Amino acid sequence: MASISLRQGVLGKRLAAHLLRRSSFKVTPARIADFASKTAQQAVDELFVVPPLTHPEGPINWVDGVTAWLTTGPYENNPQNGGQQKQAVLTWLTNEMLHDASISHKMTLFWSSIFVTEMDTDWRMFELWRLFQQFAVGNIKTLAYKVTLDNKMLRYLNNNINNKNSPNENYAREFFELFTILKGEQIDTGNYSNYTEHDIQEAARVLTGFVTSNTYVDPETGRRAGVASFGKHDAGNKKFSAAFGHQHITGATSASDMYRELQDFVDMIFGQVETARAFVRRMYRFFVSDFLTEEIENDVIEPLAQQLFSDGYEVENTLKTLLRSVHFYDEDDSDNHDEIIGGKIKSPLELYLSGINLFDANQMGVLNDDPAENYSKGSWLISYNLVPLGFSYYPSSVEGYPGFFKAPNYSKSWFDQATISSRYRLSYSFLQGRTVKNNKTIPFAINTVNYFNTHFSNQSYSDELVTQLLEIALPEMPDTDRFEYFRQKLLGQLSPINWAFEWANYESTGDGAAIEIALNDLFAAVCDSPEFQTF
Amino acid sequence: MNRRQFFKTSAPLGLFPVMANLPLKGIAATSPLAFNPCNVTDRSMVLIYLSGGNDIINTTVPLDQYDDYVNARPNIHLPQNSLINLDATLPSERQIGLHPSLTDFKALYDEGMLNIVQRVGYAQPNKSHFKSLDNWLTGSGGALPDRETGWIGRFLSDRYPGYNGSPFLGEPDPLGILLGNMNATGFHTFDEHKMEINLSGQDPAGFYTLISSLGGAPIPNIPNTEHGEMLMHLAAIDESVNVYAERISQTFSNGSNSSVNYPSSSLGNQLKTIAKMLDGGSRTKIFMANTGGFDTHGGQVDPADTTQGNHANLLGGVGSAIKAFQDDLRNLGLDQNVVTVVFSEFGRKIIQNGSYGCDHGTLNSMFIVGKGVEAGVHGTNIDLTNLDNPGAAHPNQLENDYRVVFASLLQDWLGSNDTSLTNTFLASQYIGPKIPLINTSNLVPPSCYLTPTPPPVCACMQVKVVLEGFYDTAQQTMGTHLADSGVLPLAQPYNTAPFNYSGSEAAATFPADTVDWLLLELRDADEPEQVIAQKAVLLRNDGIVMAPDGTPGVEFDGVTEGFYRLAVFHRNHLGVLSSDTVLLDAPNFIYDFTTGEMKAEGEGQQTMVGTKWAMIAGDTDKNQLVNNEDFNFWDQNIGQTGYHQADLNADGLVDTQDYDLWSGNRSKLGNFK
Repeated sequence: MASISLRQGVLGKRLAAHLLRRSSFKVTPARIADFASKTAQQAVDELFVVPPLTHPEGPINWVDGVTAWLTTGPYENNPQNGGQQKQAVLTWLTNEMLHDASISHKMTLFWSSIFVTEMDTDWRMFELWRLFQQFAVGNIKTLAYKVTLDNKMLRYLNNNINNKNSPNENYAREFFELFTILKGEQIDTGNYSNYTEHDIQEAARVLTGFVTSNTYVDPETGRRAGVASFGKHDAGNKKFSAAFGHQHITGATSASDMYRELQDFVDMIFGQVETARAFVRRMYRFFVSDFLTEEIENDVIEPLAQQLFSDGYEVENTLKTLLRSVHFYDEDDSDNHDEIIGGKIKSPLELYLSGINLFDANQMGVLNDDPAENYSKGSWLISYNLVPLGFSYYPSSVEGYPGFFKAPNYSKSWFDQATISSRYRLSYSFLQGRTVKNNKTIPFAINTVNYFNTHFSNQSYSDELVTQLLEIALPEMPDTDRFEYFRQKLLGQLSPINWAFEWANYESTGDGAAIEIALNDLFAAVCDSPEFQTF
Repeated sequence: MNRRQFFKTSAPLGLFPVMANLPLKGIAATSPLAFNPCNVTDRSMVLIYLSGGNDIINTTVPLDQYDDYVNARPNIHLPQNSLINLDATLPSERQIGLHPSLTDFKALYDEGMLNIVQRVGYAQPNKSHFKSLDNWLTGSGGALPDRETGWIGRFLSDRYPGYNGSPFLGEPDPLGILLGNMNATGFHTFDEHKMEINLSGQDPAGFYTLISSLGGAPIPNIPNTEHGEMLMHLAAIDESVNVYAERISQTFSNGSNSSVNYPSSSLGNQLKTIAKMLDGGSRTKIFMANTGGFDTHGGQVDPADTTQGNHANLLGGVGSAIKAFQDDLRNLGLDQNVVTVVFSEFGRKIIQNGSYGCDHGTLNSMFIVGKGVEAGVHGTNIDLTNLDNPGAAHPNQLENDYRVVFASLLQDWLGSNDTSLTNTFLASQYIGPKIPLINTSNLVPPSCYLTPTPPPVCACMQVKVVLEGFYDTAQQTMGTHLADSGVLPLAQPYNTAPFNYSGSEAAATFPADTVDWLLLELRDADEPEQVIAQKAVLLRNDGIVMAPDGTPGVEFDGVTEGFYRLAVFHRNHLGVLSSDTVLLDAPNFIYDFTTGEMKAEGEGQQTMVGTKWAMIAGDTDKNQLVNNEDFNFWDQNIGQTGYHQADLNADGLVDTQDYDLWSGNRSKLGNFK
């Protein structure tokens, strides 16, 4: 029986690395060692301490080198073109993800994968991302409400042109189907169990009249948001189907009352426990496993959904319960090595960004110190490494990334014939400091001699050295045959004694030229192994 | 040693065979001159998915209801005089005004190559993009339960029973190829990624180079855990890419497009790639391409001129890409082999919304294009006044279930029998009412419907190899003089030194086209000097090895599954060793030495004859080295006749022609020396 009871005792390296890989991009050797001596509760609590952003204002303008580009404007008369803004924003976000020790940016990615929008080239892109950060471990219901009024979302799903004379159902449909309660089984024409086509039409009426604004600032978030335009609103009462107990929502009587009406609508959807279940299932897929059985549905999803529901959709405690449960560590049955751990395929971010941290490969300085240089290097990292690996910051469809939420393949979708060649060339990128496509030089490279010297001990013993690398790089320690395969990569044709001499020679002379070849071979074999693709 | 390392130790890629255009086309079983609608092995279907839900009402305006059309769409209707009248001879309820940017569709129609099927969909339509597309690809929708696998995958599984994701005899290409970032749902079988190769974002020409240079050894023991399941997935992708990578690059590089100008769009590039691969000899059965942007909730038309704007550009792009593709196929002489099918997950509402667009609807049309297509309009125009509650075509207007359309094509174009169609759509109701979409001269007649046959069960591996001395470059086959003249021994001749193989293989009479005996050996993958099993086989004149009774293929007795390599020996040619591992558990696996020098381990272990790579002649004394001793042996036997060691070209006489062969290869060191 699966169980979400609290896991007791210190984590040890294997489980510490598991927790870090699943909940953060900052998976470093030091943090793994640190978490290893903590209990699940202590470690998870630490992940939920979200530090304030170093530069909440975001990237500076690289022309004047001073102005906070995206939050102090002027937005519409910016000297730079959209492509450059996009570069700066995405580099900025990537850099924040690399440095965030908390769970915040992992959750930011989670929200951006649910409340999907398309690539945009101006400040609206940045603002929505900041909204996800603000609510990273906050209230889902509030986030859903705020997202509805976000300028980028209003544009993307056409709600800004949804008006009383001619409703546009696009946002209403996706709000049900993809963002909140999700579609149930189709039980009749236009009836998807959890809602009906009629509900979509009524919701579209509720949503009429909200339009984009470049100037309005929502006092609750401090961010720009769309506004109510009563003249475009369908002020009639709305009546929903049996799926919502035939609920009535009273039509607004003024622009300000439209927010009340919208809130009533959001409350109605979040008043269904099914909505809580839908979010918990997605958290489970995202953080825990592709394999969601009936047992897990009963023993994990349902109690967590009840917790989320009774917490009024404050996500923090539900997620904490999940991440510190015996289930998350595969310790709720007699075999602690057959489920969960290593049972997902890494998204490109988990593969590459976590890899940069794991291998100490970030040689990029503070972004704002040299914005022009860093923005272009950062955009190469994105365009020529992350994109070939299968990731762009906005999914190609409103359905989100197939690798996170799409049945039946889930995380397996990240690895297919279109991405295999790039994924298996990652060691090249790390060793050369070059991108897998277009071969651009980027400041993300491993120095293997320094790395093995700094982070490991007893390096002259080849088996200890290989063990230490595999412990932090792979989800499970491989069997003896496979271990020998990796060790052979280090040793080449030499014996372990030869390696000990080589290492001693390096320690006495400081000349790493000889051992670097062997260490690079070992690193490449591990980094390009199928096991490293999983987590 | 493992299959990965074989790639690395193989000959450099610069030695990739230069094959002009001939040989791959030569694989085709039929000559284009002798056209035979019963032979469908060269036929393909290209599916084009218009992603987002194409607005069919503005694509094909029902001319019989123009006033209703204007009423339903006051801001986005197309002016009557802008419409292209598809065919004034059609009955009025089928009269269509094509969108003004579809001039290319009009041209295709006038050339007799376009059929428009109207009122297409399924009962109980679903207005979600994802669910509806999923229905189209899995064969779901309506009263039947949802399917988990794709109908294309089921079709291919039925047609090629036992197919395991590897090339097999006669079908060297992946059965399905996806382009343009298309998801693979339609191809899914219960074994993932068996049926299709995803080329999205790849350069097909460089595909093999990329793949073959990947590092890493396969994992010896994969645990039976969730972690293990992920590792199995990685291995399966790896394998599927590997077995086809070289062939994909070959077909792409060997093919060429004609001088047609494709639009420089994603769809244009996808179709151009398909045409190039087909010209290069690809026999992939189903290609899936796609283009997006059809989810036109807003800004579908330019308010100032509704014939312009987003939808106009989208349609124009589709039309010009398909027209270019069709012209290209014609110029390449391939137009008789390809039918193109355009579909979208649903149509849009009949009534517009307030954003110069329209929302998700129900019924749609499909466009079938090709030289084999029966031109026309099938099905009546959507009734613009019969709406469902939200303003889309009422589902009771459904006239053509999309499965009936595909089933009709699978039967009339690809020759599927009713049983296969039932296996494909998991229901029989889509089979009876066939739609006439293929013209009579290209229609597969019922007497020729295919009954899928399981692969041969006795011969568990197919091997193809050519002997240099025996090969006639003009005929592109090896000579059969030895068998024809009665000198070829009925029992296998490898029972003497150095082979000393004592097997009892013998033929009662020789199967047609027999060339000579070969000795095949299974070798250990890691230590190829270690012999696991041996078998003597007959060589057919096209290079296929066969059992003494003529069954193609070779089966080694008492060998367990695993990684092996294959050695091929002949009594006066240098032996070759496969540079890659061979599969024993795959009845249709073919190891083809003739497609590349690097197919044989080592440097320069094969030589080119005509357009094929062949085993090297001259080793008259069977010591895996061509040297003076071979010359001496030849010299002592000049004038001898019959089945003779020194008769390198197998014409039954030891003469100077044999000397010439020896001379060209002298000092050649075999891989087994």
